[in-house]
Amino acid sequence: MSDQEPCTSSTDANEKPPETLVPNEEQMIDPFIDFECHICKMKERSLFGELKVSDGKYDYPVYFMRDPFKPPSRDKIKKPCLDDFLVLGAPCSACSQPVCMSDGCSLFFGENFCAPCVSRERRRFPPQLIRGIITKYEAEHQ
Amino acid sequence: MYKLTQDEYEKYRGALFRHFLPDEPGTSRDGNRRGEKSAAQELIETKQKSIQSYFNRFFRERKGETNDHFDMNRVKYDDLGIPQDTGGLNRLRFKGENLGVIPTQLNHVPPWLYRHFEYAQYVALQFNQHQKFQKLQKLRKLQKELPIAERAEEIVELLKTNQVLIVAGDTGCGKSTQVPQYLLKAGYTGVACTQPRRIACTALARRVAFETLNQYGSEVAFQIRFETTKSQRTKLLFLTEGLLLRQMEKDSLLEKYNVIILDEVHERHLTSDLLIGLLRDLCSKREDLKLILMSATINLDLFKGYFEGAPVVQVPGRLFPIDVRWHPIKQFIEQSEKKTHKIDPEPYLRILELIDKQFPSTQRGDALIFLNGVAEISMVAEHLKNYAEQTKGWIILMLHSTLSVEEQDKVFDQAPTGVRKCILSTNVAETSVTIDGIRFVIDSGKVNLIKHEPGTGTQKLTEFWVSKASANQRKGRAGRTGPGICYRLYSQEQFEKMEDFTQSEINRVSLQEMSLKMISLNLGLDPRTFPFIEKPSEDVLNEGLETLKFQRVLRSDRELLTLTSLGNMVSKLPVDVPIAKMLVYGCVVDELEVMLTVAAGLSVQSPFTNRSYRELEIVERRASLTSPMGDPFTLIAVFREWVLQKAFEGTARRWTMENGIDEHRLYEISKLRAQYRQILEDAGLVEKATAAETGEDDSRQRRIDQGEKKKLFDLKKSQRNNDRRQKVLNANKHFDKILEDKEEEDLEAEKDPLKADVKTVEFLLSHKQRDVETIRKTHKISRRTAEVIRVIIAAGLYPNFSILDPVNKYGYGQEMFAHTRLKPFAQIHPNSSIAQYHPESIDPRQASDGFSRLHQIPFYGLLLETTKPYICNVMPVPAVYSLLVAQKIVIEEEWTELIVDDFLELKFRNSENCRSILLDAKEIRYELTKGLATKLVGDDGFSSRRLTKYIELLNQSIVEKGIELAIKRNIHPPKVLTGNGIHSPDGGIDKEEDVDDLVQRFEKNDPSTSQTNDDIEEEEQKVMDELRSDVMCPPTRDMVEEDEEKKKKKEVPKESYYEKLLKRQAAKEDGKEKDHKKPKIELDDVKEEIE
Repeated sequence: MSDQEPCTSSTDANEKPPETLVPNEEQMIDPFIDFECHICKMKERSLFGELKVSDGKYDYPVYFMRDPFKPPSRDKIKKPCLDDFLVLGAPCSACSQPVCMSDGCSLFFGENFCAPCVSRERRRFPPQLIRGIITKYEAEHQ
Repeated sequence: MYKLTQDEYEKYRGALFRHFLPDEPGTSRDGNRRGEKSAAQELIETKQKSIQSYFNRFFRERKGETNDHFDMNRVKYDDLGIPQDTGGLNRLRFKGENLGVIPTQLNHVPPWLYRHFEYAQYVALQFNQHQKFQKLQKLRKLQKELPIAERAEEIVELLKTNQVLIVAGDTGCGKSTQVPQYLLKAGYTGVACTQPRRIACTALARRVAFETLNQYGSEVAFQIRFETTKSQRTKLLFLTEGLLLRQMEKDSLLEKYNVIILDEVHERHLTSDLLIGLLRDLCSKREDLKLILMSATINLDLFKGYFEGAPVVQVPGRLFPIDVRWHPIKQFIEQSEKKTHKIDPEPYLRILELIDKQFPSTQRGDALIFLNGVAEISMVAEHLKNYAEQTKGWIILMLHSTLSVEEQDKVFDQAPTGVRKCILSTNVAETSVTIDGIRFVIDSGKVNLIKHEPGTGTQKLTEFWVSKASANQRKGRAGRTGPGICYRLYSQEQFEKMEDFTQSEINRVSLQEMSLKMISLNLGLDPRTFPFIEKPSEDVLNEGLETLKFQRVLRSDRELLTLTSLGNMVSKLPVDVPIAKMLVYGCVVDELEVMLTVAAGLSVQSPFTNRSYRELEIVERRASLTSPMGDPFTLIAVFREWVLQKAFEGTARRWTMENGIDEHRLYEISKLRAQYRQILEDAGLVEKATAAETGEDDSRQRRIDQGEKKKLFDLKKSQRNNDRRQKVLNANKHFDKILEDKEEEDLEAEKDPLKADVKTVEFLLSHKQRDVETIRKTHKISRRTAEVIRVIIAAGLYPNFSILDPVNKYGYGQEMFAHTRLKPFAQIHPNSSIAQYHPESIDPRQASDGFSRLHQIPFYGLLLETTKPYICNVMPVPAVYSLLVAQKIVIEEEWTELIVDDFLELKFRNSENCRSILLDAKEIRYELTKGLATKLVGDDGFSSRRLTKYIELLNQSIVEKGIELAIKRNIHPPKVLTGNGIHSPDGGIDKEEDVDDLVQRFEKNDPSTSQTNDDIEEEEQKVMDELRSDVMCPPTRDMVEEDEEKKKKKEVPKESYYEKLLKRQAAKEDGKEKDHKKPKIELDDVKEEIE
């Protein structure tokens, strides 16, 4: 997670010995993986795994990142909560392919299902629940 | 079927909210004391609201009924994990730890309601997640839709096999934001992207960081003159062209970068032209380096030709359609050749009326008017304001670079509904500043360009027709956010006649500073043979080199371009040569503090706002700050007063407003001072402050510093993190009143020290009590010091001096002519301290034979020709000071006349006077040279005491001994000065020792130089004592001042500076103030009384 503070300084133009922009060793161990939704091809660098925080948890591993739109909490005592993160997607519980959270790509009902699996197993779901995702999916894949 | 009534919900609501979403500790319902809520509290309140609205909806739409039991334990699943009944909770992606377990304190709540509430809370969480996800999705969609997105892979692939790549795309194609990101994604880690403007660096860094989801990290950073967000983690750095060039001075291979992107190269700035050349060369030295040039599609062939074989990726721009309407103004066609016509604001008014007629005010869209200069903008703005006040349909604003930063910022604020804003701008709005929401562009077709006039040292600001390229760029400003209209106040025929491109900087400006930069890179470059993308004129280049030689920065005795020792030093300082020389001399005479202020002040725009010169009240109020010794001394006084206000009174904001001063300029000065000091310390010209002096060895001080640093860090961070909220303009406040609200706000904030803004904290952090004390002491200048400072400023500015006109009356409101060597009949700029406040101080009051003790020659920083040639940053000095800095002095036959630089003739009453003055002058010249050489060698053996004493002596001969002289101007001085040295009547030439000769000798450690110093000093002291004990000789100003000082100290030991200000104010209102305007050099009034 990259929530370390940037070094802000108001130095002058004449710099100290050249700081290299090459990553140091610590950064070489990269916990990030590429997440790619197999339906809409959305691609992001993200973390993968269980997300369990003070006010809730996902029952299955998800692709997630720290909420990029919010400044990192400066309060060290405060425990992280779900709102500190952004969940991008999760593997489909039926076909195990990664799928994003978008309404057109996945549906959550008891488990996470991708659009093709919902479409295939449509008889098993309550009809009004899956109408939206099926129309969207079929409109794009014809 | 479960049922919930409104009453039942209301009954338990409070308890449930308190349990699930308690308020942040320390917050009352309406925020804390300062009226701000913490981010956490805001989040909680959003959640509370969304739960509330869930239940409202539940009652409204479903009448409080549902089949959902919200009980996990009752649900059955099939083999795929699909629930067989809809228990509500099954639609939640995530769950709490103790789902459905009611805590004891909530035992009175019905279990189903508890579970339902729990569900509502998770729905709220899920909603938040969903919104964030959509925000990301939208961002990615926008990126994908940019014209450049299709070429992303191609760009990365091409860069793998090519060292240089050209990306050409017009406005709106997304190249500046996207290309650096493609590189990051492809795994490049040391990417530098240059921008011609600072504002673009910060804005791009911010945008790209946002798009790479690293808004709060430092992978994407910027670096501009005083500010950087760079850290160890930075992979992509946006920086100004100038900074990259400076980095090359230290690291000519630029090894910390593996990709360098030069953006906006089509603008053809001097630095970007130079960088293009240098980097093309660097590519052959570093095969691992990748270079990307990004430009608009205009003039693409030029770059293609320069980088032969480099692949080009060309991308279309994206703009909404713009309708061009031609409204030529007749008068332009008739008198286009005439230079001094005044602009007629009528046509601009007619366009606004046209817009009002054709477009209902319900349709949004603002107007942008392009004019050539500030005078034209003010004129048209006044006229349009009358119209706007009648119709209430417009807010008239201005935008040009001499406005204060706050005034400039106002153009980004929104107009209230039903009102349009109309911005009158110079060409800064063409590329530098992008204003959203512009629908109408009104283009005068004119631009003011500064052009260096070879042969006279003049910067000439002249009105030109714009080029086709810039006319189209102006037009494009109407189509950024929607379809727009461009009204061109010239004919289509005129457009066809315009040049294709604006003349590049390298063909317009003086090339002296650029040449110095190139030579100082130590790469053995010669600007005369350097393969520039466009070769500059040989004459201008040679003139630049000659000037450098004349300034003794380049060695004139070698064919190969070599820096002198002084040149070496000067090139390290990021300022123009004259200013750099002043700084170096400042070290020689131990007046660094003051010279830092002067140098910094001369490098930034005047701290007095443009507007303030027109406000009588302000002009009168700040009279006491101005100095009859000229602008540099006014600057010293202003800076001193501000620092004291800042440090002791905490009312600096009020003070700057009352005196018409732009505080940002003063902050800039204080930062520049620190930067220059650092460079001089690094170069060994001044000693570094010891830990004891800076307080670094004091643990208490360290702790305080630490605390302040933390506060500053937090402030900066939160300022950066807070997105700039758009403000709405007040419909009744036009360009002349827009700042009123902001000023009141600032004054209010200033009363509470806890609300100190970033800049104030930063200032206080970098200025310890000790620093403030130093400034307070050093910037209060005694006459003795003033003379020394005058001499070294003159030494820096030389050869920029002028001769006053013998028949000109130097009084208030007069045109004040000053003849420079190559430009006769220039004028002292009316805004300078001399012209505005102290014209009488340069009046020589000569007798009919022209003799006087008071002859002065104004030195100046800049010769700028607008409607007339003006000299700016003016500092008059006694005419004999020319003898201290001139390169050629000819002594006439009778030893009564000296001719300086074949230009200025000084005539004395008798040869004794002449000899004595020249003798003093020669001593001072020698001391200056010696002092400089000693400093440059790195010796601290030099003491400026003798120098100071001789300057004092010289001054006494004029002011007190009363040596009179007459001055004459050689009307036709030769263009080039030859035969430097002091020429005696007998034909002998005293070549004097050069700094470099001395440097060489000192380095060899020749002991012959500094032996007899003590003897001379003793003798010197005798002369001084004699002078002082002479009863006939009136007390020197020093003595008078010392006495006064003593008296003052006794009377009012600690008067606050604000009180002083008030007193001064009161004194002025009482009537004619007694003495504060009295110029320090004018002693004769006093003397006459004594005599």
